[in-house]
Amino acid sequence: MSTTSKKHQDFVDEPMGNKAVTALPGIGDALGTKLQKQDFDKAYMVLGQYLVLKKNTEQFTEWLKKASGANSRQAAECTESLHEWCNNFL
Amino acid sequence: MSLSSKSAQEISELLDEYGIKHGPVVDSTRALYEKKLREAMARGKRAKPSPDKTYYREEEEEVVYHTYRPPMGTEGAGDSSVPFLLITFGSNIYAQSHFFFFFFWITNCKQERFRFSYFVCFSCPFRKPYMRSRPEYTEREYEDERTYSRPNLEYRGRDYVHEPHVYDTPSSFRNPSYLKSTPVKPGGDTPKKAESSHLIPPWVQVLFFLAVAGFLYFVFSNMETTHSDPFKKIE
Repeated sequence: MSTTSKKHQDFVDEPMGNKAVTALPGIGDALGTKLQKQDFDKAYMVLGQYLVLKKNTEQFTEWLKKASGANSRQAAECTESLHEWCNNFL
Repeated sequence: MSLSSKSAQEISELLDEYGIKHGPVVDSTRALYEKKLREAMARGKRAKPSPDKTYYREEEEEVVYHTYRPPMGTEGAGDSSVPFLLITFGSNIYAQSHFFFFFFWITNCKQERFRFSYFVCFSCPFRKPYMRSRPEYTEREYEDERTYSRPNLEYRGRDYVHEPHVYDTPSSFRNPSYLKSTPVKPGGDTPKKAESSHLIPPWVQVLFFLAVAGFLYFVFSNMETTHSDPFKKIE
């Protein structure tokens, strides 16, 4: 079941601009820090990774889990929000 | 084979080989793609060679089919249509009669008259040599007609001697099993079909089929059961 949170709605309703990676749905402080350590400090960089993987949700989820230590739910949430954002703005 | 030492291009090619959809192999994606490749390698490479093996096997069957044509002794340098026809005719006869034999076998499992009907039908001139191999090949024949292309070939030379009709029929029984090998069939098979379709109208083929079917049914229906003591005198 996917109940879209407020964070999700806020993210997909507007261009992400320079939002931090912690603005991504599913990515909290802990996961955000891990991503920042790998130089993914902005949300658009994670978006970039999603796009470089040719918007392959399965591969992106796999990458995100490995890079940030996210669990399946968190990774799925992030992937879904990026997918929707792309539909809206890309 | 160390994936880390390969270039991005090589990684990309490997990904294509394993059928893994991928984007560019850049710093951020390389680790992921290497992991994907390792998983794919562990699963085992996609079986690209095996379809070739299948074709090869069927091609072998076809080649054997091909090489038996010369002993038939009818062709000169140019005329190769007749032996082709006769082979297909022979194969059709063979296939049809065995189809019916099998049908009769099914309906009269383990009854004496099955053997008798088989015997009678084998007494037809072009069937004599097969009497001894009857039992085993009835079942096998239905499962895989192709395997009979080899034992059958040596008898095809007699088919045309005894049978006045000329028949075209590569199709109904033989074709399905050869359809798979169409891409690698030797050229000999194709002209066979093409020529036979020019010379023999399909209705003749159907008519012949029905005639053989009717004959076999008639023979079969007039069998006497041989449950009784075979050594009893017939009076």
